[in-house]
Amino acid sequence: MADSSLEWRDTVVPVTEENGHGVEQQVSRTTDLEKYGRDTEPFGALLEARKRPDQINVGREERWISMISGGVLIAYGLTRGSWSGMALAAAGGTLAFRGVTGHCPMYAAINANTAAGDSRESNGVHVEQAITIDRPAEDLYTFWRDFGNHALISDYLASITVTGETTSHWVAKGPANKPLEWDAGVINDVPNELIAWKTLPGADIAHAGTVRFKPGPVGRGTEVHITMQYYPPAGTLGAGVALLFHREPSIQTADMLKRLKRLMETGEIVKVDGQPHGQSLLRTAIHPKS
Amino acid sequence: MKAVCWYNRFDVRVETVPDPKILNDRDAIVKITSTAICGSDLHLYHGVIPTMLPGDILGHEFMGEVVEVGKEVRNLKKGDRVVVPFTIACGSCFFCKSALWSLCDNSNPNAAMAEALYGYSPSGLFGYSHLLGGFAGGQAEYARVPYADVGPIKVPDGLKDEQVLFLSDIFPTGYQAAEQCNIQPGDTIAVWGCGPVGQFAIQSAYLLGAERVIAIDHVPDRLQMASEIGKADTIDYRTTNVGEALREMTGGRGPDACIDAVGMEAHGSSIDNLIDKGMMAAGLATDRPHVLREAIVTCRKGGTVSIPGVYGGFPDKLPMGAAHAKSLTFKMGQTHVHRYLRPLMERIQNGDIDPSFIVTHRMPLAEAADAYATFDKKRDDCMKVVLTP
Repeated sequence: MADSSLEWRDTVVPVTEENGHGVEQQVSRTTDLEKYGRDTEPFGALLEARKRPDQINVGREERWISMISGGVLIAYGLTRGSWSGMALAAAGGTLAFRGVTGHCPMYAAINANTAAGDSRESNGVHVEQAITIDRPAEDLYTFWRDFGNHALISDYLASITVTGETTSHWVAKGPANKPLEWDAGVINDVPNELIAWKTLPGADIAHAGTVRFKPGPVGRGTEVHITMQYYPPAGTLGAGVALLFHREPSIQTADMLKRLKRLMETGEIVKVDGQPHGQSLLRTAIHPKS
Repeated sequence: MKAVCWYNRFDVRVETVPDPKILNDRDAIVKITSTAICGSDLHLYHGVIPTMLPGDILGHEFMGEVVEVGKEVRNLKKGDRVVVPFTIACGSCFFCKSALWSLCDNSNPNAAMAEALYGYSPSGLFGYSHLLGGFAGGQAEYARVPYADVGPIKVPDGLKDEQVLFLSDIFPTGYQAAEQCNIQPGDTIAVWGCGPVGQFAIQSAYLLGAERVIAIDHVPDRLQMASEIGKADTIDYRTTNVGEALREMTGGRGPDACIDAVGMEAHGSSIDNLIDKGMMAAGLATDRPHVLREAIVTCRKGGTVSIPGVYGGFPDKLPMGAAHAKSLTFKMGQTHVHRYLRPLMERIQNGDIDPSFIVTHRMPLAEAADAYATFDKKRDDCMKVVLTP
């Protein structure tokens, strides 16, 4: 596992680059996984189903739907505080499990498979997000390029240290309070337009990303487009588990963009933690921070 | 401080909780002098709005005295008497700049939750579920007001609390409902629901030049208020076929615009509403849109259906065929309260309207649990409760 993890880390490629005409284009995301097949997958051992992909019979989008709606049902069921609520929460748990593992016993029984043709299964997690912010591209680029600022717009980063002209060291709060660390290097930098980066070998979360700042239509500010190719600590399972703790990368990215927008448009990120509320054991159990 | 906390369906309690603190630089803390229970609070009371947590502080219609301001709030100072709009708006995003305040992009910290349900998130609201921000509400002794440099309006001297309190929600809500009807000379406006929003919609329709307003409800004292104070013609839907009556009263044309001031929990025992009730009880439906169906079917061709009543999820069996065939216009949404604060304050100062007519019950905050039950059951002709901390 250790060997193969080095291979895929080194072969992550940036997801966009300039072609001869100065226009960005999507480039191949081929990794060793595609060349050598699933056996070299580094985190297969952590998820039995991943070693035997024939057990994954729920398609990618459907798995997300299962996980999200399962999570919603769990949360809603628990807030009901009644037996029917508990039944809802239990049903949510089944759905969420189906989403996390990608295995549906009912599909297996009727020989159905909605995962056939999912090519992204082995390529880690691909994240694409966009937001429009009512500030000039220049301001947004300047904020982003000063990587220390990212602590202001993320609640999962513990620290960011700028280590060189193009390099920085990042520490994130991982699951179970285990910090996740990586070094990142800027691989493309077009002032006021684009920043691309990738993690350096040895990263706990290997990823590559690009952020583009594009003027929107008249009166609409600047469009911020972010694309990331990301390998969570334990493959798709890691993303699934992380989702339950609000740590899933696409949610994190969306959340970060919203915080960026709030900060840039209003000068602050409106808070609700720290407000008063009535005491309740159930509340403390499901929402300890509030 | 004392605050009204939601615990479960039909379970609200006055609890002792910590005083609110300034959390952002643009916050203010308001010491509440008057706070009302809104009809939409009853949706929370009935447990039909998802993402409430036990202990959440309720209330979104409140006013009081500024006791503390964050360091970015320069337009308010200690001692100012203010009314606070129930929608929370940053004042600087695209939507706020377009006067679509209840669609503010930045004021809902839980926007992702709302996006999962609605595609995009509306603004945060006070005391109205975590889906809409999880902000502590104003049925309390004190409240923290985010973006206090944008929302609260100062009250001119000489106006009593009850005259201006309803600028926080129901007066602008009724007014926006009428404004959305694009009233032309000669227009007849039908208003379903003679609760507080309906009453303000009736009077606003006349302020905006309606020829005639027809009000529909089943509660005798509400119909009486619509008739005596609102000068509306009335229909009691329990004894009269609404569709036939509206057609007859408008010379066979149908009302030029229909206002649904009822929303997701329609009363009545029409077949469609009984089915909705059963489905909702079984968890198979989110809304009971009987009024919306009736408004769509009875509205005149080319008319407008204006919907201040709250819908939450996926109302079933809406007659879109009728809406399409008759080229209806639909207007709806949470109220862009900020837009109306100043003009409606002027209307009150000029004596065009005195919103205090709506108040039927004045109770101490400590009796909030009883106040909710009284309002919910419409006991003792309860129309509007004002709580005093």
